[in-house]
Amino acid sequence: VILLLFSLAVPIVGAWLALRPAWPERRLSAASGVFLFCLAAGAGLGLSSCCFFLWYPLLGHPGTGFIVFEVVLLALLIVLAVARLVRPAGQAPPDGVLPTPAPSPWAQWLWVPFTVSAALVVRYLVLYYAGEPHGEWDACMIWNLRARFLYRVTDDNWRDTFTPLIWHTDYPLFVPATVARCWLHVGEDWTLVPFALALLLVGLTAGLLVSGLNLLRSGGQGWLAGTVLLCSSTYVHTARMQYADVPLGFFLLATAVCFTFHDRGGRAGRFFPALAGAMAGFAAWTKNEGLLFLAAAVLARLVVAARERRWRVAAGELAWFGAGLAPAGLTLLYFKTQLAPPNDLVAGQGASTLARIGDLARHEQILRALATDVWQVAPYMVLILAAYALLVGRPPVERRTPGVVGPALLLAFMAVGYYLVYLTTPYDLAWHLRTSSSRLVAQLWPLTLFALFLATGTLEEAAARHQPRAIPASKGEGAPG
Amino acid sequence: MGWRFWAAGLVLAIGLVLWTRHQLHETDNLAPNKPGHFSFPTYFDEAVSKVAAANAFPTSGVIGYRDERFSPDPPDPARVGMHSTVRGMAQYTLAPVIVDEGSPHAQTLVHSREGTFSLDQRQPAGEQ
Repeated sequence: VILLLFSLAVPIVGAWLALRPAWPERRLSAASGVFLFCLAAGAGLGLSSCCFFLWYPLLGHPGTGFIVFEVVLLALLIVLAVARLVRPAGQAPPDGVLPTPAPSPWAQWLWVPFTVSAALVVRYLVLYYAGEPHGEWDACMIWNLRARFLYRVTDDNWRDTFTPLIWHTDYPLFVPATVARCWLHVGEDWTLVPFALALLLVGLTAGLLVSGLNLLRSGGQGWLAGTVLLCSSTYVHTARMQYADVPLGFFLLATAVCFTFHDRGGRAGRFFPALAGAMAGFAAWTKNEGLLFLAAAVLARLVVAARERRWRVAAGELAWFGAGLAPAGLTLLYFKTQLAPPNDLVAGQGASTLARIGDLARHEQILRALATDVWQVAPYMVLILAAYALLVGRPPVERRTPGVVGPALLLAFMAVGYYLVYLTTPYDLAWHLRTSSSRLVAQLWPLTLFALFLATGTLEEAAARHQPRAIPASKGEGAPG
Repeated sequence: MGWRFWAAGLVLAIGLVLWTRHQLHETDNLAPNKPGHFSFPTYFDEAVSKVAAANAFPTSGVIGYRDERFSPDPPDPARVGMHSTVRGMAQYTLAPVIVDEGSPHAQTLVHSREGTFSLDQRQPAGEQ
């Protein structure tokens, strides 16, 4: 267990040390600390999985040399961080930090329902793992199988990992490479590793949602969104499977959160666009749906630029977005062009595609399936969220967060993309929907909650509706808990 | 505090209570004596690994597969058949050896009618 924790800590601590100097606050509040930790964890794990994978073509099967490489890199980052600490001044200019209103004392207690739901989810996932240590079907046939290949192959046969004789060897490798990397540290292909990764990603997603919204909206909005996320049965069921959907959901959310922080800061600076690019790249390195997300992210930024007619700003943003995207993007490019077989959904297109698009019964079938999945995300969840949104309404004008439209656009583009994938799928549509649509809902669920709770008012604002002057627009800098 | 605050708080509280009940019920169903959902049978990995170790299975390349319990799956949708399921489990266990009937191979993994596994060394390469 210590080796497993070490294997996870190395990239996370390394990324933290790399990102911390660029963070605009000199002293981190609790929420900022959690927020930065979640982003650093995503960046660190993503980058380390790319390095691990690239080790194969460059130097052969990773062994002790890879572990030494990681540890030396971490030591270098620690030395640089210490050197920076002893050097006076030199803090990066602010990049997107605006004062966050402090929450009411009662709103800070909203961590209680969040903690209760988190405890129940962890208990459920641990018990499920005890009975199903290998995860569910696709974990055995795709994600953990690929990790086993990466861990067990030798210098001579590592390319067998991507043989077209096995299903879906074109799928990107964030999860398999991370699991195999941890196995390398642990010294055996232990089933606890993929489970621990799934649990960690649920925690990171919830942590990012809570801290991001608490920083952006205050009023305990983050705690509410986090509680709703953990109370979503579909999301929890997807987490127990040990598939790549929960990690993908994390990277989608992280990209949207980074862009929202960038927008809130007046769209100045390069820290958040670059980080958004990195997160979007890791999304594409996690699942093929991430490639769709890359396109959606660029399109969403162009729409935002068109609305505001700030093309020059948008060009700068996209340049930094591209820079952040580079590590995962180039790794993925190598994987897709040199190793991966053609994607089955793309290869299955042809003359019949137009007929499938024109088949109204398919449209109805897809809409029904997706509506059912959204309805079943948790008992009465849709009704509860709709009622909540109606009751609290929109935030007062002076407390609205710039950049609300960004996450909504991302969500809309992804939903349209998924719809088109189903519409054109060469497989039996009923089978395809049955085996995947609920997981697609789970992928988008954190982003959905982020967009919803960003756009709606807080309980605090609902309480103040009858006392309009009770809440000032800003109480100065300081992050909510 | 206005009625909207209390109403919104009540709605969320009802949601939390409903979900907690649902989640506790689901967790109860996961108790060891109440098996929940199918995934990978934990005994399978161990059983095949033992046979593989005892029979000097190959550690790379392709191995054939013959199933005496389940006939080959119908072509569409093939993923629901037991033949594919057991073959997939064998693939998961034997990785990085590729389990494939269609490619040239010198040895064949046999899943007997009794549910045991063995290695058939006599099969000619390229067996279908």
